[in-house]
Amino acid sequence: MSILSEIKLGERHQFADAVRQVAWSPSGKLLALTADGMLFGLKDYPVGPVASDPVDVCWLSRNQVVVVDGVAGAAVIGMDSFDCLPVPGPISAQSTEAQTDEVESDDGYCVLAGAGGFSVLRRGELYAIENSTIPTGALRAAVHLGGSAWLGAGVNGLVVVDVDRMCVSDRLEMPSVVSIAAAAGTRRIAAADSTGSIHVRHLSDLKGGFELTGYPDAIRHLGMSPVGDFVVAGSDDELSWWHIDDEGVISGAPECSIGHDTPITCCDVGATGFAATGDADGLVRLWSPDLRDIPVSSMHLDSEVTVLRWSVDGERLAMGTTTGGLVIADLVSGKLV
Amino acid sequence: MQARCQKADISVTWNHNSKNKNHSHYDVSVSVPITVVVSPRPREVLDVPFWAEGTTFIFDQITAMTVAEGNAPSDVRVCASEPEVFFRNRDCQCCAIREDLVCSVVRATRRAQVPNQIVIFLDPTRCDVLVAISTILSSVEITRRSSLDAVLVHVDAAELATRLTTGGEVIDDSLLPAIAVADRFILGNCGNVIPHIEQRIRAELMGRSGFAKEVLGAGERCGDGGRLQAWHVAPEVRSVEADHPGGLSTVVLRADQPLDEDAINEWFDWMIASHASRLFRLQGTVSVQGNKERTCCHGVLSFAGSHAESTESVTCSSESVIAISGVGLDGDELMARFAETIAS
Repeated sequence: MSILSEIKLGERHQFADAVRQVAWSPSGKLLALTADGMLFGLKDYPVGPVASDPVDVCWLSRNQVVVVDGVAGAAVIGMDSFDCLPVPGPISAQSTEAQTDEVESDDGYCVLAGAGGFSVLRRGELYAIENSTIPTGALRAAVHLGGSAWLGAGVNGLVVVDVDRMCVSDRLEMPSVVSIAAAAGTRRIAAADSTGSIHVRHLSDLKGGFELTGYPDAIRHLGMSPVGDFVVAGSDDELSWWHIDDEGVISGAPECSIGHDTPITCCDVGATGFAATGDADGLVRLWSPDLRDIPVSSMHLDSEVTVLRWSVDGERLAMGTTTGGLVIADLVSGKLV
Repeated sequence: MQARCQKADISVTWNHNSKNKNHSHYDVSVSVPITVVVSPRPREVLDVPFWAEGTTFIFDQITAMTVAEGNAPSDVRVCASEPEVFFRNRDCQCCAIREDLVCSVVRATRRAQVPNQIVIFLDPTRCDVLVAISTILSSVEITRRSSLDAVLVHVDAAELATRLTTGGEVIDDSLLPAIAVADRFILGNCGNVIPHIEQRIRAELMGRSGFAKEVLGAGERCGDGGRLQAWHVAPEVRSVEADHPGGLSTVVLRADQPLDEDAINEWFDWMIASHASRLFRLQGTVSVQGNKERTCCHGVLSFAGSHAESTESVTCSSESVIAISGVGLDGDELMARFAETIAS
């Protein structure tokens, strides 16, 4: 891929309500959860409504998905089954499919973050990881760090857990984390707090690292390249790119680019290092890691972009909107003409 | 923007040309109105018809589950929100924000069919009402899509009657923040209270509040299609003196002629800086020299915002009215500093 790359429109779907969340499987199957609780992609036909307040969705195995419902907790939905799980204040669900293909087996597991901290769903049983709140705050997000390690972030900071040993490995208190990102291979993480600071850390030393400041509001859109050489942050209509050198040092000012006229509503960095941003007007921009001041490709959707998600290999991009549009685009190499 | 190392002394400063992020001039007529209902027993309040068709309700998770599993009409949308308090300023406890409410309101409004109204239920025994109201007024994510319309406070008549007849404090100090932000009271459980006691409770509630217009009984409809527009207009207020030191008072400040812009801004800055932790509600309409339109202002705790008085009709009044409710307010000092502002 190069800076000449662009995104080409592929499939288009139209649902009755806003696309709330999407999830790719390692083999490229796409799930879509809409605001009216309907689930698309598990079967040949829509399933549901599966939730009254749908929040998140992820694959659990080839034939099972987990839907997070703000009201009911969570539900494991299979081809012929529907099991509710009482999760307090559920916020997000993540399985390992983002980094590995192990979830394609029938022995996948899923990590749920919420008011009660971390819970692990494995073989139909829900296990709570004790003391995974810091000390008693809800977790807002979780990312897989590789192997059995997961990072959670929330009201009172960061927590690293080992889901095999079901214990907390490390933790760091910091004010109100609203978004996190990680590069599993380099063990680098980034966490944005509600005061408008981004904390870049290495897993070997959570207390040291860099604090990136100067943002007027909380950074809700945060990404890190797969090799950990940059952090990208979306604030209002502006993207800022912070370069991280081989030693993990951030020096100099960020490269900033205003590629949107309205506030950025979502952002995702794919396995190829390309970043996608969407805004309140339905504009989607593609950004190359090699050319950070102008977007390399753009497309207009019919309304506010609610979700952007790269496929596991970073070659396909799913885009959802408030009016129920779901568009899948392919990242293709461009050429000089 | 700045990168700061936590260990080594590395400091790289970049002069960020920050844009003027003025989010206050939103058009409240096109955004989704939010009604906040303060009640420890939300199921009882659901009998009061204060919402419009196509309303989305936001409850705590347990209540949401009960409502969703109960006999809720099929068109009722229910969201859940468990209190999560974040701080926007590490050194300031009154710069708190309810992150869960921000996410819930965004979820409720990001729909193909946007709700006609959002009703948020707050249990005063489980959360800080002022932090929730401040979040609704100040969060950019919320104000981009919706605006606070009114606050309804549900009180139990039988409970207050018991306090009244046993000689206790009729209104507990823990209820003062809710009374300060109330636009209407809903008096529940009236059937268990004799009429003259009910009248005394109604008088007591209205006598403590500087902003509330009326006390509603069960089944009484309030608002026009679920909308009261109580927080974005010139307030109809009355002064209230605290009944004891540390009690709730409402100070009303008035000026007949347009005010100097710099002077009134300076007064607001001083007032917020010196009273933030005691300031439960601020609301007013300010006429500024050189401006045809008056400016509406509102705030809770350390947050204060403003917008033009009306997008439809402009009154030519040059009167300014600012009302401040809180505990431990120094009314004399507030009036004296405001008088200096008028004179400047």
